[in-house]
Amino acid sequence: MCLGVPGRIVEVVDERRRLARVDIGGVVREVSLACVLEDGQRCADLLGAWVIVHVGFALSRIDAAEARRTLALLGQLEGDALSG
Amino acid sequence: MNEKVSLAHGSGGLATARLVREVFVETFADPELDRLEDQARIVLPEGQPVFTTDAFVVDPVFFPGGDIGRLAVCGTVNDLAVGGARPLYLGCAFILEEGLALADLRRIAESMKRAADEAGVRLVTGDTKVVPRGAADRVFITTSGVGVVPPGLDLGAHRLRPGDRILVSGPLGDHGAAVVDARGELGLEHDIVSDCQPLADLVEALVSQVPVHALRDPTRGGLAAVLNEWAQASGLDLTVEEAAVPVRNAVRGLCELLGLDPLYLACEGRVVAAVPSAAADAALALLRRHPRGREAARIGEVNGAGGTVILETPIGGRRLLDLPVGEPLPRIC
Amino acid sequence: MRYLDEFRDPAAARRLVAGIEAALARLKPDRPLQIMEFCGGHTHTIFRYGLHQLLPESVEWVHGPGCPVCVLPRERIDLAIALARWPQVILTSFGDALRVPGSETSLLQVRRQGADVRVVYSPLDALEQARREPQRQVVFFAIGFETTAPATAFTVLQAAAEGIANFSVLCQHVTSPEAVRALLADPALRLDGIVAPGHVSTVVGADTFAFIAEDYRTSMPNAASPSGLRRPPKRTCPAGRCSKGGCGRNGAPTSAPPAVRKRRWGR
Repeated sequence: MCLGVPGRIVEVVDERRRLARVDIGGVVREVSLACVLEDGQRCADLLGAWVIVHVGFALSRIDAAEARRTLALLGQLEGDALSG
Repeated sequence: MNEKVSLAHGSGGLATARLVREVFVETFADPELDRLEDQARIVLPEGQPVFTTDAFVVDPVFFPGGDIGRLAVCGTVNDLAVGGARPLYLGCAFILEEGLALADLRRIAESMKRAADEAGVRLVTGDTKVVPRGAADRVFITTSGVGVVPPGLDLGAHRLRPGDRILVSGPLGDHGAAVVDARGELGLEHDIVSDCQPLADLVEALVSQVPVHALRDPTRGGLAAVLNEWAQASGLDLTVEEAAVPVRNAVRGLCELLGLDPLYLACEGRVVAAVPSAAADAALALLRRHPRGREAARIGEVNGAGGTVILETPIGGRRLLDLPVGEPLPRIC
Repeated sequence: MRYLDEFRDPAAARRLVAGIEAALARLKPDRPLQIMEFCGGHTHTIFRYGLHQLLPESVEWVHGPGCPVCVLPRERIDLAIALARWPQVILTSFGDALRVPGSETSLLQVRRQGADVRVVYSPLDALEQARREPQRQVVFFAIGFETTAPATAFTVLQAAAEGIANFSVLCQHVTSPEAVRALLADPALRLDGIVAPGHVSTVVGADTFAFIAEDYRTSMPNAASPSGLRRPPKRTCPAGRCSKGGCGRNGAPTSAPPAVRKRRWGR
């Protein structure tokens, strides 16, 4: 259910079957991009993008901006808690 | 000679003799083995003789970085070495599954000879049995080994003392990770290979210069198993700093992906050492100077009475590092 | 950015813990706050990183039914085992299901007895087995919550697109909201907050769990947190909510088998 790991899309394997090779912390695995491709998007359009991988499928895209926003939010929580 | 092992090869007659001669005797090339007697004469130098035995059933038989033969030799050599012994002689009994390719058996025997030479031990006696298809998984090997501990050396859990530092000789989990994915059925590309290697030379370098208290090799069950056994045997608490435990990036990545914990994965070429705190720096430096210990690290210490293993997590929490439960299986959740 | 290490920063974790302690000192709850997570990944993370020990004693974790196999009735495992025993079947499964007991045995046991049970990382790998062995029937034991269901669905579509006739799915996916409702309906359970599953939320949307706050406790905060964020949410104590019978410690959910409540790391 919850073992999703961040990985970077490094190579297209099969556009028709929407498969790409994703680098997950030094281990590379063929992953389906079926869940994250927008209409009309090709696997090649996502080269270099980061995704969350779960059981061989990219479930969602992640990007630096969103990650930074999340980190900032967490930082804000610290501040709110401490200042009351 | 036939391509595959048949029941005739185990019956004790002509076929057996040919198998033993052509696969084992010629490959192992040992003068004592050449005598083809039922026992081997051995010579032991001065010191405490020690004896060990181990069985190897690894599946698959060939894996990245090694095979069951290399594993059998190194595993037995290392069991002797962690007692401080100089390993001298090995004997091995093979249980072969009917249908095993003879080419595979030769490959295994050659690998054993290479490992034995690397470890400086002699393969001097053996046995071969054949069982019907399905009664064994290709090949099982039972190895026994004899060595001698130099006079005055006494290693073991009974020597552990509060304040001792715990060191490991290199990154953990390489073998376990390599075997989990050895069949390639998980579709993962990586460069993880088993760390399977003989360690007698590394151990000798260490114990000859540092007053080591205890040594173990973290095989089945990994570091967690060894530390728990030490904690239980000594009645002392052990603390490990998780962030200090060396693990290769690819092994970490594979573990993240499959939901495995490197602390429970087997190593076949690492030692865990407990040394007095005053000697810890020297021990670490010594290990790192040795080719088999370049990535050695200090990972924890022995505390007071207790008998449990406590892990300090990377974010500063603490948890118990329990004994593993069964073989590590990939999980999704 | 590697998207992992930044979210496991020890200094940031310590600051958050300090913040939580400060907030609790101000709120002065009259009993320990009970927070439930029901994502197996969250439970694992809590124990793996020692969060249960790091947080003050006035915060208690109640571990919900986060294992999609453990919440299945034993008969469902029996189904998979029965199929695995057919010689023409290759039973493919995630590793999680292998040790879970059915009524009499487990998939791991029958594998040792000779059944062709294969662990796969992805349903796509099970489909590949079907391509490679057209003479056998490959059955995929599809377990998991909403996070995993799309993978099964897309694999089925792929099999249909290729006309693969020897691939079938024993579908035992479960959905989370019903499990949560069952728990929240239990009068013995008094929760102050819920950490909703993050990866499930990426599939079904975090709004799926909004009902927790709307239908149950008006002031029950509810935070969806992907397992990569290893920290518990900030808490506000719902004032005046709890007080009948004082502070009970039996907050553990009763609808999940004991295996779910045990510590689950190191498997």
